[in-house]
Amino acid sequence: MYARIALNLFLIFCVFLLQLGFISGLPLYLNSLNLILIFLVFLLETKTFKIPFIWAFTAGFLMDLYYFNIPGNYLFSLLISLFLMNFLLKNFFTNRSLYSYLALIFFGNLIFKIIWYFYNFVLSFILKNNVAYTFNFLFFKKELISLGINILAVAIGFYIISFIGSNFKPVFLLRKKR
Amino acid sequence: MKSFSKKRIVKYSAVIGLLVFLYLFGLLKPFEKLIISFTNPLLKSFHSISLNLRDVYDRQSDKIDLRQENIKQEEELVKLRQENIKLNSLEEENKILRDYLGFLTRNNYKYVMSEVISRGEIGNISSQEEFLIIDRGKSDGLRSGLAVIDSKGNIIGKIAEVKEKNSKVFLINSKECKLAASILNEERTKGITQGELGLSIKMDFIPQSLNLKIGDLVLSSGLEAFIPQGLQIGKIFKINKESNELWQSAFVDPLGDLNNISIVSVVVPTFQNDLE
Repeated sequence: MYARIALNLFLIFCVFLLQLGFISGLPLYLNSLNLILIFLVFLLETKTFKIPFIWAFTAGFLMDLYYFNIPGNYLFSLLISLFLMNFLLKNFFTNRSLYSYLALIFFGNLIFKIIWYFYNFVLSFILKNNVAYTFNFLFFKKELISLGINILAVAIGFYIISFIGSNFKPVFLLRKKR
Repeated sequence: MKSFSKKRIVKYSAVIGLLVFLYLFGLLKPFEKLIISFTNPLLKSFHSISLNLRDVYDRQSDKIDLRQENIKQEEELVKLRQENIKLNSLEEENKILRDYLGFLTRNNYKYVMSEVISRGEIGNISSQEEFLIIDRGKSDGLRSGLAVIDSKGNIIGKIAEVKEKNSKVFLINSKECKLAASILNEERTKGITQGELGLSIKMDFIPQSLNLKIGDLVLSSGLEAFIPQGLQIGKIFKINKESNELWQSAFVDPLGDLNNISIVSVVVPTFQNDLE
């Protein structure tokens, strides 16, 4: 049990380093990849809720330590996104199909960003900090591309994992000929 | 799939609340310091790998007509040679005058070299705020408001916030980065530059009566307490002049390469300690 938690903490740390150091410097729109959220989707579908919870909690905490935002911004955004994704998965999607993965990353991304901005706006208002975002065409274009890139990454990840292992079902359930 | 019971949710919420509380009151500072000093070197190496990739991509996608560029540069070289002759004589004159007056302005600043460890928020969220995180902070004498320059001495940003071991630098094309600037023309027009959605830089509030030219250099004006005069910001590439408006504005192309930054220098005035 403790060894599993330690292994997960180590993996979280690696993903955190990749996200902050490597992904953030990539060209094109590749820097809009949200590795943490992608990992949460995969873990939510394959593991008990405890594991993605540990991931969201630790990654959110580390990000808050590193970034200069209002404390708790990443922690709360990731945790609330995780709870809502879990709710969607339990009530609306089938487990382990490509569609449920794609739908989850789509909604997860959307929820994460809405909560991130909402938290920033509300707390900045309370703490009397300055925040200025322009929600114009360019903003929505970038967000749309970011959403597309994350969905694409999940689809590629899904096929890689289903190619390596036998944990996931393909897009359509094929009837075997007897 | 198991879900959390209500009791557990309350328990974990309490833990999260406690952590945020401890963080707000600075009680997690030693822990934060430890994590940051451990992760900074690792982040630096990860970031340099991705910057190399970015560099390869940039080189591939550059479709500049080199021949045309060459002709243009040759013309510019002739002009610069003439200007250089003039400047050399002026420099000599200036040196003598400075010696007479005892000006030591240049010696009032020191440079703190720093490496970039990350760029922007996670998943490029809030992409309008173009910023870098560098591996130097309060413990190295940095503070908000200091200018950050590249290897050629061009301003690339301004420090927004500092922590013990790292700092947040708003790039000059970020909306959050405002700089007191002056245009290198006859009137030495003064104004404020501000980033435009992470794309370009706009210099506003320039009186209509002043003559601006495309290609004019924009420098720091020295009106900000911690930023020295004469640091290069960029060149004017577009002028917005409407006859029915009170002011005109200029769009500035930054001289520094804002895409590929791995090492920066922070200009620290030596007199800042006296001011505190």
